[in-house]
Amino acid sequence: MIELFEIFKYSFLLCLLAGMTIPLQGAHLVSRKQGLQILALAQAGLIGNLLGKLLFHEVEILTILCSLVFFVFMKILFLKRKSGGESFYIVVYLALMAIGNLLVSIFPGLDSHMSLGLFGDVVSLSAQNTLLLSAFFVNIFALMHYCSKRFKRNTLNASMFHSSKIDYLEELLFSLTFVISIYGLGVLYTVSLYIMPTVLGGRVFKGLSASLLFLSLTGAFSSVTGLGLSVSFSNLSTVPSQVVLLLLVLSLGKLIGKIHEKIGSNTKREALKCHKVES
Amino acid sequence: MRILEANTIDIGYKKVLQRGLSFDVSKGDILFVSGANGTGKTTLIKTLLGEVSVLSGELKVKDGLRTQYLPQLLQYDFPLSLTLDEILDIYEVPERIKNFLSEDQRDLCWQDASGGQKQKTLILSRLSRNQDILFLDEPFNHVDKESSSQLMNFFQELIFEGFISSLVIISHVIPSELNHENIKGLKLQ
Repeated sequence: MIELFEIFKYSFLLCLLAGMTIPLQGAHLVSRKQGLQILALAQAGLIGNLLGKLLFHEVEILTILCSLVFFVFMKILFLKRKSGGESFYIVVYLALMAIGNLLVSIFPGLDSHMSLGLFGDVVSLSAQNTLLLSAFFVNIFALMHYCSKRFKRNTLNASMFHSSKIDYLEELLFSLTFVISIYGLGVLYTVSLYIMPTVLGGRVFKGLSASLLFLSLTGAFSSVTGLGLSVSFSNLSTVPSQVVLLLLVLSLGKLIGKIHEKIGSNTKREALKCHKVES
Repeated sequence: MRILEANTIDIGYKKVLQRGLSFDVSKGDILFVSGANGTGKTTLIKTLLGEVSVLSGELKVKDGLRTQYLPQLLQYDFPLSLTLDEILDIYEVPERIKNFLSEDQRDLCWQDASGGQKQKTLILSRLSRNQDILFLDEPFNHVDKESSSQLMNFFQELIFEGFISSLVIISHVIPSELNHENIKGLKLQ
C-alpha cells in the first residue's frame, strides 16, 4: 500500500494544488453569476481537446493550444453576446455535447479521449506531466494570492455595480487554469470544483477571507482524500470519489454552520431576555 | 461655484429623448431627476458622465471634473459571506469615511444588512477620494421611508463634510426632507 502511495506522490501533489486553486477562481466566477457559463465553457474546452487530438495526435502542447483557442473563441462569443439570458449557455452546452458525440461517432479513435476528458484520470498522467501541471497550479495559486484584492474588486464591480469591464490578466489566468484543468483533470472534476464549493459552502463562515480559506481547504482535502481512497480501494474511481467527498464535506460544513448560527441566535435571544428582565 | 451647466441641451442616441434641457449644479446642490420610464433619465446621467454625446446645445463642466456613478441596487443574493467592512476594505475606503457606518453595522454580512445599510456601503465604496459629483440611480429602491430620510441626512452630511461637492439623484421617490434649500428638481416629461 505504501508503495502505491509512493508511486502516486506527484498525483497527490497535483490534487492538493488544483483542489486549493480551482475553488478560489470558482468563488469569483459563481459570484459573477457565471455558473452556467462555466458548464458551457467546460464543454468547449473538451471539444477543443478532441479537435487537438484529432489534428495533432499526441503532440500535447498543440492539443492544449487547440483547446485554449477554441475556449477563448467561445469566451469572446459569450462576452460579445447581448441577449439570450442564462438559458443561452444551456443551449451552447447541449450543442457542444452533440458536436462532441458526433466527432466520436465519426472518429471512433477519439472515444477514449472523450472518456478521459469527461472523467479525467490524474493517476494515468505521466510523472513529468503531473509535475508540470503542479508547477502550473503553484504559479496560478501565487498569482491569485498576489492579485487577490484586484480580483475581489472585479467581482464586486461585476456583481454589485453591473460593470462589464474586462480585466485581460484575469481572463487569461482564469482561461488557462480552466483549459489546463480540463486537459489534466477532466470536466467533472473541474466543473465540480469551480461551482460546488461556492454554492454549498460560500456562507459557512462569516467574512470573505474565512469563506475563501474554507473553500480552498475543502477543495484540497476532498481532492487528496478522494485520490487516497481510490488508491486504497481499487474499485473506487478517482474523480467520482473526489466529487462525492467534496459534496459530503461541504454538506457537513453547511450543517455545522447552521447549528452554530442557531446556537448563536439562541444565545442572543437569551441575552436580550435577561437584559429586558434586568431593566 | 458652478460645477456643471446645461443650456438647452438635447439628449438621446439616434432618436432625441429630451429637448432643450437647461439646469445647473453648483457646490452643495442635490439635483433630483424624476420622470416616467423611458423619458431618458439614465441617458441624461450617461450624457453628464460623458459616455453619450450631447445631440445639441451646450454642456459646460468644471475643469478636471471628478465624478462617480452608482447604478441601481438590484436585489442581489451574493453567494459568499461578505461583511460590509470587507467591501469597504476592498475599495480602500479611508477610515474616516468608513466611520459613517458604526462598527456593528460594518460587521454585518451583506445578506443580513438592510437596504439602507447596503446602499450606504455602496455609496461609501465610491468615495475613496473626494468627488465633485456623485450620480445615484434610484438610491431609495428597496429602502423603507425611515431609511430614506436617514439616507437623505447621510447625503447632506457627506456634502457638509466635503467628501462630495454635489449629488445628482435619479429617483421616483422624493424624500420628505426636500425642504433643504440646495435641493433642486428636474422633471423629465
